[in-house]
Amino acid sequence: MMIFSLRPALAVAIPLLAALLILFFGSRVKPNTREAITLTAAVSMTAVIFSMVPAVLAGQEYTANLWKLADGLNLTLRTDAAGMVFACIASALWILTSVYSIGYVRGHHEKNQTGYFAAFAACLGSAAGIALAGNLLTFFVFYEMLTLATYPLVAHYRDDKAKASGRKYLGYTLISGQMFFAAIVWVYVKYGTMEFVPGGFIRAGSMEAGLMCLLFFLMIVGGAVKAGVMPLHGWLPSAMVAPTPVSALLHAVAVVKAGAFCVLRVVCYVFGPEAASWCGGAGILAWFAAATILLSSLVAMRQDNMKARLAFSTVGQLSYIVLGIAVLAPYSIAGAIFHIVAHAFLKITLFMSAGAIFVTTGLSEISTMGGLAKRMPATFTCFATVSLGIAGLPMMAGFVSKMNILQGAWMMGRSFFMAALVAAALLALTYLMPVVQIAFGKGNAGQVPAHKHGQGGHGGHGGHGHGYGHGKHGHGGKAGFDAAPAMLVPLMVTAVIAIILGCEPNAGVHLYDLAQMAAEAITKGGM
Amino acid sequence: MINIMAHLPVLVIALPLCGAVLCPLVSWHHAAAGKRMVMTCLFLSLVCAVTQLAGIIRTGEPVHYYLGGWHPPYGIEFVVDGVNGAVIVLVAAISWMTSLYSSPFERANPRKWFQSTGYYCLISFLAVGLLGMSTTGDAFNLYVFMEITAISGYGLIAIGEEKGPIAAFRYLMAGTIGASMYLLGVGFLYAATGTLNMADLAAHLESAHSGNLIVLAAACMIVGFGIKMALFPLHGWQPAAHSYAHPSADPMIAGIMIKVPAYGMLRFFYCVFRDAGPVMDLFFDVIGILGICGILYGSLKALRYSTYNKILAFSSIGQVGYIAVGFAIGNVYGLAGAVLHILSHAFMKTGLFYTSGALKYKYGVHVTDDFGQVYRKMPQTSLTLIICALSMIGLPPFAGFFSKWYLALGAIQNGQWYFVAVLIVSSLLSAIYFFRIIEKLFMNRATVAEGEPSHGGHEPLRKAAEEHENFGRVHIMARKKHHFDGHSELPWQMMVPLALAALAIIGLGLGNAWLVGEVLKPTLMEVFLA
Amino acid sequence: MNDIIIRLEVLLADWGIYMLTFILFAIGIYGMIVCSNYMKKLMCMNIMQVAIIFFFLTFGQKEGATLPVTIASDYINAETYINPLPHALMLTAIVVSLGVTGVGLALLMKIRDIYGTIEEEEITGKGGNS
Repeated sequence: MMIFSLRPALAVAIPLLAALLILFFGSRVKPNTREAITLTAAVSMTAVIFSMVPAVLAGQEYTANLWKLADGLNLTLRTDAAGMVFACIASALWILTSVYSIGYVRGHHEKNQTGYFAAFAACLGSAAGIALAGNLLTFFVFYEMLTLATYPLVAHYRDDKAKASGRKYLGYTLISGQMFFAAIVWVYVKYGTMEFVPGGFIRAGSMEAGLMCLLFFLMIVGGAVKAGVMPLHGWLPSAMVAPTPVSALLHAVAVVKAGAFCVLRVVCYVFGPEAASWCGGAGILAWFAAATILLSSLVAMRQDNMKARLAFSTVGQLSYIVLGIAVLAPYSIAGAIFHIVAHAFLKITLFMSAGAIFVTTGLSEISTMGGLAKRMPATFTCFATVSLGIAGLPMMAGFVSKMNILQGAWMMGRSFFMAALVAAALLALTYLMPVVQIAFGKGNAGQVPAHKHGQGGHGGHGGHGHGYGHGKHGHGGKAGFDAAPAMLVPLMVTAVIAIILGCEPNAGVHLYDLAQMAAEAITKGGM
Repeated sequence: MINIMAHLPVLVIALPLCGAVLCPLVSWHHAAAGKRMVMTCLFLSLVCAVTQLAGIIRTGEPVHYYLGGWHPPYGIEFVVDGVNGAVIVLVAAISWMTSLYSSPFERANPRKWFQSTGYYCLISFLAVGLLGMSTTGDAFNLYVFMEITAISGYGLIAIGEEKGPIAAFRYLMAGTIGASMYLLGVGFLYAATGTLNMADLAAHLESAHSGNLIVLAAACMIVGFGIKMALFPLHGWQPAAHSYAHPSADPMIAGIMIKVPAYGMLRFFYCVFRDAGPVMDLFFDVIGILGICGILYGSLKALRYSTYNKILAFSSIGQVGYIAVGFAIGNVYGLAGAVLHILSHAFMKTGLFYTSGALKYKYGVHVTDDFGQVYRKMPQTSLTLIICALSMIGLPPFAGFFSKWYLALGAIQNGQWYFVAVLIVSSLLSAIYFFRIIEKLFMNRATVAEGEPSHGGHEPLRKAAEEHENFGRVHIMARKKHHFDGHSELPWQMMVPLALAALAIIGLGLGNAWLVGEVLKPTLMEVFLA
Repeated sequence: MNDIIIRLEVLLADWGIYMLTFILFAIGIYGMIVCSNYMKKLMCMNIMQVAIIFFFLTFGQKEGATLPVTIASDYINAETYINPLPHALMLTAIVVSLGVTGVGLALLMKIRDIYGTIEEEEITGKGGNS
């Protein structure tokens, strides 16, 4: 049942409006007022989105047909189950990242804070648009807006390294975006519709298999680049030069999730399981995803820079989602959608921990963190807990989703994928546990006065993701316990939520039920 | 009482004409009066154009106006339908915006009576020529308006920078060849049919026997319009002309002076040659290939320059290729995309040249390497630059994306996937050169916009400009120093056109469905593809 | 042989004038491209324009017809007049070409002021490499 309402539009408009407000008035008002805009927008957007959940759970859809976007096509925003999952996650995490951002950029004395917060809000608006888009053109518009809004964040430091990674990011995303563009034109001319339909509107056999496969990959590349499926992941590690909250945004909240969500929309809402497997595209995609899961774990092990290691972990975890979708089993699709949630909470905790460590002590290389847990016990406890979750241990959010994907693969008889999933879980332990081990183990990183160590750490290894804001690293933690509260509280909250979701996946707003509803609609009640 | 509404088609042209003619007389008495009169006339013309378009949309019927009451085929006829109604509004709007935009330049750079008056005269005449070209339904009348446009254009280019006269002279050579070729084509058509009215021509050509003559005429027309619209490989005059024209007139020259001939080509081929046997096949092939080559050439060439105006000029060659590709696609969506691109690209290029002029006005910079951190001092200008640039690349939700969307839609409907491939490649190439500019604007070290905002004062700026002069690559405007000490970044006369251009791009982007669905598509179906 | 001459004569009678006009036009275009002196370019432009004017006037011509002037008392059949329209058009075209030439000359004066020469090579040699 459809409910015509402007609420979905409101959810998209609030952050975009906030972005404009911040852009125009941000440099004229006090920073506190500016941040108040961000937080108000974040809270009200979350409220709007969460207020729609009960009706969606009851099987209804809010639809907003705003105006004609192009001849014959509406700007449609619709709250289907899958979209709601993504929208809920993005909006809820925006509150936490905002709080964390404020702590981080102030602790780190970042420049250009106005532009930073404006772009952040624009990113979230685009992400909400992506989640709620009702047809391909609307989706594409917000997808490209997300690319544009993320670019200033990636290139935030505006030095040569930031420029290079900004260029790389644009190169990857714009090229794939243009391929996506060609594909949606093709789809529109061929099928005369662009509305997302659970189970897809492209019928198997309506086009030559080879051509359909080409079409499939033209569209998938658009999503796969943002989701970082190998070999299209190149931009993600180099985007590490951006400030840590941006990495959290990229990895957990909006950008890579938007890529994974794009894959979901294309495979399940445009092609549908039947056509996707008929043309052979889904099979190939699954192999790429499985290869990425394994390879990225191996690469991650060899990274000493904390953020780089986490980046490759993201590459792998996102491919879980892609694999879950490409396996095309009902359970795996539900698992994939829920993994968007699970990974969001897990990875954001990891990144916020990494950022907190960096701001507090100036350390970014894992090998230098020996004994750091004595100084930052809370941070590292969260880090350790969440690492287990990434590996998929029971009682953590990651377990539920991975179990579902595994079950789906079992049902489809894809034993290799099952093996890959299990192997990757173990590999995840091998690259995340050493961090915990080093931090809780011997070493004097915890004892040396913070600011001195910050400088030392800086001189020792300037090669990676830091080296900005010279000599300012130590400011946050001259004394006191652990990281600044603005950073510590959000990361503890996300860690706790990750545990709660692991014990009771339906806690709060029934995200697991939503994921199952979506999967059921896609596979026409196959669960 | 005379019914003004019935005379709108001619009023749109007559008002700027009056302004142009009376401007010298009026300003003889009061220096600024002529300028104001030209602005007023152009604004009234814009009002008339909008009213006229609104009437056409309401009634759904094209307006026919017979000059002097002489009915075709004997008299000159003005025909305004949805498509050229929109083009007329575009021309009138940009002319008015540019006339407003020009006045601070004059204050910064006080000229003698004759020059200042002459400038506004030329702007006004340029508007007359372009409006006439888009309104007229008579082939020879089109030639006359084409030459009015060209001559005023030569003047505006020549009073620009130091190289202006050379650029103007070369444009004069090329432009005259173009106009002569067009005239030759008209001669052939007249010889074959004995009429000059476009509608009448179309009717006669259907039954004309002299096929070769008509093909020859069509070839002449392609060359003629091709030179005027800077279609590859007939673009030779364009980069210099667009780079060295007077900075305040440049937006108009670059924005609409190459768009109106493109519209003329559309009108001629789809309304006159439509049924003339082999002509259209020839036209599709030639214009399609030239369009593709132009898109690739313009985009690649723009990569090689670091002078802002040169980049914009070469990008125009590519963008004209888009329009040509739209003509070559030739179905409803292809043509709608082409017309939408005429409109949207006019605003984008005008907006970009407004920013170029603003940067010259304030800092005298014209090399993109010197743009570092300028955005801190000129946030609104930079915002316009970004919006225009993103629209040029073809990113949603700006107007440029949607014209590309319709072009691609039309191309795929015809099975011409190669056009889509070219559009995509060109988008990516333009992304390279525009993001390079944006990157320099935001990330390069400050050169001219010296110092943080807290420093304030104009002293560092002047110093920077003087230092620059020593390096010998300072623009003529930097030497004639501006002395603008207002509170905003630029005088309001410049801010308003900048903002309007940006708003127009966003408006065209978000309102494209209405424009295409309600205005362009019905007209294209009834008039151009009937 | 005789036959060929007759056919040639017919051809020349039908098309000869157009050929001459075309040659004039070609000379004009050629000169505009080849000449390096801007003044010569401008003159060649005029030759080209004159060629087009000739072309219009030629096809408006009719053998054995008279001037298109009607005298009220002495009205003759319209077929016996030559077509006046091309003449009228060319009157306009001549005015336009006069205007263009004037602007061209003014530009040349300006160029001469700036560069001291109107030879293309010398100007481009002086740094104007566009």
